[in-house]
Amino acid sequence: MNRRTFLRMMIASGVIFSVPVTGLSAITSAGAAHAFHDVSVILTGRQQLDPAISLRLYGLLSRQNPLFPQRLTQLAERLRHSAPLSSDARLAALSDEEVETALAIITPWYLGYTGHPATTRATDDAHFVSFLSALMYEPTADVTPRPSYSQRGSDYWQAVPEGVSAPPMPATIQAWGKASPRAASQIAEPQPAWLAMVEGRARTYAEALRLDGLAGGVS
Amino acid sequence: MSQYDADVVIIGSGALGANAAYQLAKAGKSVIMLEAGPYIPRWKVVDNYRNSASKRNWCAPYPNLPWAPNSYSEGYVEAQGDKDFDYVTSFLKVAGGSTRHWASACWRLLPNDFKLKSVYGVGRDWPIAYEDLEPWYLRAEREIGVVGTAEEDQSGQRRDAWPPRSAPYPLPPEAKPYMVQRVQARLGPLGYQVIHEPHARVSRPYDGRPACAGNNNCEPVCPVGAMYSGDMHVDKAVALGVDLRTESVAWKLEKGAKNHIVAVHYRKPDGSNVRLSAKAFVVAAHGLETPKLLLMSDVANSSDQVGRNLMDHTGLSMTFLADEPLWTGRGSVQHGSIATRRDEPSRAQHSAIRYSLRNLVPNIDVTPALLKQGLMGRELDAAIRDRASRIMNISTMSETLPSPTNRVVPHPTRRDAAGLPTLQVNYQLDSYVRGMRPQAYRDFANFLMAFNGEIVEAPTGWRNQYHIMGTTIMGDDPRNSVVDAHCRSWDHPNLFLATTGVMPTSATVNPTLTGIALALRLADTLIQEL
Repeated sequence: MNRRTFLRMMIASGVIFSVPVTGLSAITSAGAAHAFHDVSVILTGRQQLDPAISLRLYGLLSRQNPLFPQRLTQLAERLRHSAPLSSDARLAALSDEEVETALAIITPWYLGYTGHPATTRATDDAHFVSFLSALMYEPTADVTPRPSYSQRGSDYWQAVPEGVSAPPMPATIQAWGKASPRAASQIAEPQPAWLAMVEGRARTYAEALRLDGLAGGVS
Repeated sequence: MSQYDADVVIIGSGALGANAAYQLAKAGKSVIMLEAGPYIPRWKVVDNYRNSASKRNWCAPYPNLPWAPNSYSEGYVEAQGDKDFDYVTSFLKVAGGSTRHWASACWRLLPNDFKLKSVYGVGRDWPIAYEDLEPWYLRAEREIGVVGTAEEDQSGQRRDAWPPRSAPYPLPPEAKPYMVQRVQARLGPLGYQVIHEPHARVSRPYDGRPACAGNNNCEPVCPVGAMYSGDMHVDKAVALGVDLRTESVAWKLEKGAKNHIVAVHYRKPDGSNVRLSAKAFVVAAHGLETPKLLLMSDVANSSDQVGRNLMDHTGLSMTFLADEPLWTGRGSVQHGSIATRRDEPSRAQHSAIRYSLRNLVPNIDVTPALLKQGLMGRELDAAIRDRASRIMNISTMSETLPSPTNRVVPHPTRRDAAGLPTLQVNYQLDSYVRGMRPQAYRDFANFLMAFNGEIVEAPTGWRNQYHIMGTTIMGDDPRNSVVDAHCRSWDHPNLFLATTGVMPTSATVNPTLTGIALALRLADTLIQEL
């Protein structure tokens, strides 16, 4: 991600404006870990971050990058000094390095880990930050469980998920076995554009249609 | 006092070994069961999972000891093969074995899966027919609590119920998730039938287990014990007096008079060695360690087939964003399947295919990319919700054929902490499995079209499904197979193998249920003979 994109995203997100800047004035006088917590609150848009996780994450990021404390101070300073400015000006004031630092802070709050977890190797450089309070679970908390914690009991998954208006379906769609709707008797050949996507030649249908020889792909 | 340490020594305490141990103990036989790894209770695995940074690493919450390394240990499985495919597999070394982290799909093979050579002219036939194993399939389903419907054609050929069953599944199907309803509603009109996937996540309280509550954590551990895992039969076996010896690594089977196996030698973490004698021996150390032990011991290999014919369900996987919210992650990690290509005439030319629908809570998969894009705040939260609601993964279970050059051997030079050889694997994909790609692509294209999908990951790379088969192959001819129809070594009348390594065909379904059925049958043979 480049800095320009980041700035655009921050403006679009509105986060930096929606969070009161309480604590910012204390950044310079409080300890670095305290500053880390305050900056985290601003960058994530969450007032209720757990100070214990904050402390652990600050330690992890500092060990991972010895320059982190210094960069954090720099970012905190920038945010403090720019508080009176217009939002655009405030964001434009961030340097590439400050953008990088901001992302380094936001990412583990969302994911619940630092580093790069391996899926098929026994060792990696990942460190645990949090589980239940990983911010990535918040936007879906009404629909899906945080894995290993179920709040609803058996068979809740049959219902239409929260916030979804289900398209019309056959009345027997929920049944398994004989009562379940039968599929059509023939399988058609796929259209070339969809095949091109499966082959890795395009990501979207529109992209696929622009491929050579596929202009008529909707035949 | 008996001249033997036990009637039977079982090497390996996974689902197959533990089921055999339990049956033998019930019949009054004395059993010692060796396990290379430790015993770890479920609560501790759950705790480890919750505190792990690597939540998509299904070995991570389990002990990985220097004398009992799992397959993710760096260098433990050294694999060679094709440039476009890395052989990776996923086994644990703990009491209960690798079903501690499976998702518990419990398909039976089809009658045609037992006679691939005679029906389709490729691969091998089993020396037994579906009907021969059917009673033990039923017993296996009852032992581990399999959920299913007997009303569907699991071969995908638009018949009525298939394969034939002597009794219904012990447990009725769970509710159908909304995601599966939508997949069926949109793929059905295109000709793809979505059917129930039989599994061992009980839908009602069963045998002391609670009903599945859909916490979406089957892999790497079911926190409530609704899903079957091998430690359940380890516990049952131990309760009946089976002597479970953990952190005991078998390293040699000792031959005696009349080609009998007279003893097994195992090593403790402190380096000390123990010799155990028994009337019969069962090696139940999965499809890689079982042949390794046989080769290290120079037993059971007059056919030169030990370690050869390694098979997996090496296949393809597509991830896409649908044009509507499907919300994977509600329920368990898998529900439903598309079996349309499971038993078609094209099996004569290329691999059969079964499509598996993934149902994971996807936040941990979708969020890193969004952060990399630089999304923040409300926009990031909205994007997580949107992506998580629409992401969908469908993968193939593809049939591989037994090939003598696909093999595992004890590593010629590398040693683990116990001083025992690590594993060396050679595994290449032949034209039979590669030949299914055009068919899979056409189906994937139809799936994508049905959902006006946007590609997240195209199905262009090969990946294993971690199903290890073929390496101690069963047959009717001692010259080209390792065990007979009863999983008995052709070379040693008191040596039996309880592993999916005996399977001569891989078919397109998870092999564990078949392995448990064979282990129960093997136990019956032993009970009659001892």
